[in-house]
This record gives sequence, C-alpha cells and structure tokens, in this order.
Amino acid sequence: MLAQQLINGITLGGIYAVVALGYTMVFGVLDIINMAHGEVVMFGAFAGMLLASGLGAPLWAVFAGAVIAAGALGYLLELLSLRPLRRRRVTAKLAPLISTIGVSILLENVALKLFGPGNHPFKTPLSDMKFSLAGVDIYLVQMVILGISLMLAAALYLWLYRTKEGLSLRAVAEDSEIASILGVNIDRAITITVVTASMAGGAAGVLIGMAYSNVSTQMGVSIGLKGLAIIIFGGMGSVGGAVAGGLILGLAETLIAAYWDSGYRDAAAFFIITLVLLVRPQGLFGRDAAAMRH
Amino acid sequence: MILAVEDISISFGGLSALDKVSFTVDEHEITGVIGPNGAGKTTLFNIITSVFTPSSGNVYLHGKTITALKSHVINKMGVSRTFQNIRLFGTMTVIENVMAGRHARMDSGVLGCVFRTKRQRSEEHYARDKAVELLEFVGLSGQWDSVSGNLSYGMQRRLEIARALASEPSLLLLDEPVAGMNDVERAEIFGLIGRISRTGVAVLLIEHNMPLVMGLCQKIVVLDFGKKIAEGTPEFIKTHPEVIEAYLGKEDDEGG
Repeated sequence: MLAQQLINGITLGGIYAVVALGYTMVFGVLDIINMAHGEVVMFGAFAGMLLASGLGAPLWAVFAGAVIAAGALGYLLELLSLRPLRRRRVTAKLAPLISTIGVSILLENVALKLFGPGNHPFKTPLSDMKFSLAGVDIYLVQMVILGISLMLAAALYLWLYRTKEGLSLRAVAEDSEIASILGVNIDRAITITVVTASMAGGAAGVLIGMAYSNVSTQMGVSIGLKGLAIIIFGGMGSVGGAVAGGLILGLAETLIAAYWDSGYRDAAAFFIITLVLLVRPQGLFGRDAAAMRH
Repeated sequence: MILAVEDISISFGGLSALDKVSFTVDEHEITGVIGPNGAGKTTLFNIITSVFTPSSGNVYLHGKTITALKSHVINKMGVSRTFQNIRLFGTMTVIENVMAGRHARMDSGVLGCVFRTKRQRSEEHYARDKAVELLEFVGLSGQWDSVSGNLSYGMQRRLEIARALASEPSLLLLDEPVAGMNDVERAEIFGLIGRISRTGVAVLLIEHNMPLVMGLCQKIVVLDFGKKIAEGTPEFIKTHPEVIEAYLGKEDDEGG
C-alpha cells in the first residue's frame, strides 16, 4: 500500500516539478512570474491530445508536437506581451505580471472556443499497460512520466550551468544591464528563456494528459497555481528547488489523500508549504533575500 | 583615433548632465577623464556604452557612429568597461565571471549548445583557457573557483578588469578603478593599466583625483558641471588657468 502510494506520489511530483521548472526559469532570468505558463501547459496538453487521441500518433510524436506548439506559443507570448513593455522601458514589475494574466485569460477562452468545454480523453498506446512488482502495480505511463521529468530537470540544469548559453542567461538573471554591456543580446536571451520554459511546459502538458487520461481547458489555472506554490516553496529561480518542491508536494498530496481524506488534500499540502515558509521565507533552495539584492 | 565623442548633450529632469562635450581617444594611449564628483564622467561612459541615449551629439568608433546601437552590439565592436561601484556577477565563480564577459567572442548558437557540437566544446575549452590567462594577467591566480562575492575589494576590482578584457576590446573604459585603494594597491592597478595599454588596447580612464592620473595618462579631458573645460597633455592641463580655478584649487577639499 505504502509503496504503491509512494510511486503514485513521485509520479505526480515529477509532473509538478516539470511545470515548476517553467516558472522558475522565467523568474530566474526575467525576474517576473509568467502567469500564462499554466495555459501554455494546457495548450501543450491539447496539442498532445489531438495527436494522441485524434490521430493515434506514437508517443514521441505526441511529445514533439506538444513541445513545438507550446514553444511557438511561448515565442508569441514574449513577442506580443513582454517585449513591448521592455521597449517602452516599463520598469514596474507588475506590468508584465498583469500582461501575462491577460494572456492567460485569452488563451483559456481561445481554447474553450476551439476545443469546447468538459474533459477530453487523452489516450496513448501505453494507457492501460501495467506490470506488478512485489505486489505493487506500476503503470508504464508512470515510468515514462518519471523518466521524462528527471531527464528534463537534468537537461535544464546542465544547460544552465554547463554551457555558455546558460552562462549568458545567468548573467542576464543577475544583472541584465551589465550583461548587455558585456555583449549579451538581452532580447535574444529572454526569448530563448521563455521559449525553452514553454517547451518544458508543453512536455508537462502531455505528462498531465497521460497521468489523468483526460485534459480540459481549465486545467491551466489549477496546475499553474500549483507550479507557482512550488517555486515559492522550493526557492524562486532555483532548478533544484523546483524539483524538490514538486516531489514534496506530489508526495504530500498523494499520502494525505490515501491515509487521511482526499478532501483535505490541497489544504494539508498548502499547510505544509506555509509552515516551511515560516521557517525559511526564501524557500528550500532559495538564496537569502539579502544576498540576492547584494 | 579610435573613439570620437562629438557635441554630446544629455539632461535628466531638466538638469543638464553633459553639455556639448567633444573629445577623442587615440589608439595605444591612456586617456584620462577627470573632474569633481558630479561632473558627468560616468554619464559619459553610460552614453558611450549606450546605457543612455544622448539628446544630441554623436559617438564614433573607428569612424562609424555607434550612438543608436544597442549595448551588446557596441561591445561586439570592441568597447568594454568596468563600473564605479563594482558590479560583478556575485553568485558566479571567478572564472565564470570572466567567461560571461567573453560572450561577444563566442559564436556557436543554441543548437550547438543543445547538441554539444565539437566546435562548441572546443570553443568552451578555449574560453576557459583564455579566462585563466586573463586572471593570471590581472594577478588573480588560483582563486578561479571561489564565488566572486567572497573576494576582497581589491581582488574584485581586478576581476572586473579581467571580465572586461575577456571580450578582447580595442577600447577599455575604466570607471575609477582605484577608488578606495591605498597607495600600494593603487600603484599595482596603475601598473596593470600600463600593461593593458602596452598590449595595444586604448584605455579611457575616469578618476576624480587629478594628480593621480598625471603620470599615467598621455592625454587628459577635464569635465566640470557637464562641460569640457580642457583637453590636452598632462603638462598642458596642469597649467591651464580654467582647470586650476575649477579643479586644482579645490584639491585640498577633495582629499586623496
């Protein structure tokens, strides 16, 4: 029973982690919260759903389609809702936040118009495949979710900390004015960040579709709030924090639902987050607020 | 002549910060920009590196106007700088700071990063070797992997110079590189600036203490309240009546 719940919790946590990675990347580099990220995830999920349920496409093609669709959406988001604010040298931190809230509302309603209300089944060839290991049922889908989550987190980490492109992004994250004077094209760095974060969001959308076997146009709101809570909990801008925060939230939710009452699932999970933040306001892996301002 | 500043004016909130300032910087020379605090020296650097756009006037690099260009393009064209209040990437290591300064000299794009092409890897190796070389050049040996925020003040100044040199500039702007230093540290940094100059990099140096730069610079530009009041050799500046009146006369108040 416990082993079963742990596997379920880690799977859910892996999905949360990938969603949170998208938030943390954009926050790390742009210092803003992309409130439309949940809807980008939702669009990725629908792109995957159309390919999987509609065309019966193989899994790799489902992922590729969702990642490309979400990446394109991220590009438009940067071009139409973030860049114009930078052009006009709007310095208020709230402006891009409001702007991305607008995009999120727009995307949700466009999706509602395009795909219609209610749940849309998300079928993949793996959907019903499972095997038993020492009395524990493991769905193949769960293995795929976990594998892809960990791979994405590792790839993002290596990209940010082991490549020159990542170094430039970190330079922009710390001080975009200096980075620009030192030769980094800020617009390009920001575009790369938002598109990459959105591509990860597209992959997350497919993972969610696989995990719940259906998708809806409202999924962006709830998954977006979870993602936000996770990066605050894990430490804003931290890749490790997004992964650890996602896994902890996923496990907490699953265990609370299994051993207590599923009605208290979200309440209890957020209660844990609140407790941690009282002790560590900067989040699990966050830098000291004072050190960040340096 | 590598840099020409022509009739630059800029004002902030109705207050004129620079008023029709013109001067030139020659190759292989160290040019000093001096003037009391608030004379507009850093504003000048911010205009040359396009942090600010002047309300009128032009900046020319190698004879081409760079006034409307973006900061990163100007860096690619060969201008690099340091900052009055040190602005390192505080969470990065020493060597990462220098490598971040090298961005303009690295070409392989996003796909190269993702697929780790051979060219990408050799480029990164080369960047690392180059960064080590620069750190040794500025006198920062063996502390490559410490977090830059933990370095001493003097070491941070040296690191900032190494970071600025990483883009292989033809013109280096140094904003008060010896501010807050004692005589020994100051002599060391001046020695370093001399060595940079001898490698063929033109240097434009801000300092508000005039006697300090007399021996270092081949040419000096004096600013006072946003206006250029003199430009010439240290000997010429030393005996210039307006400079003496506006600046040297107050030397005692400025302190050293």
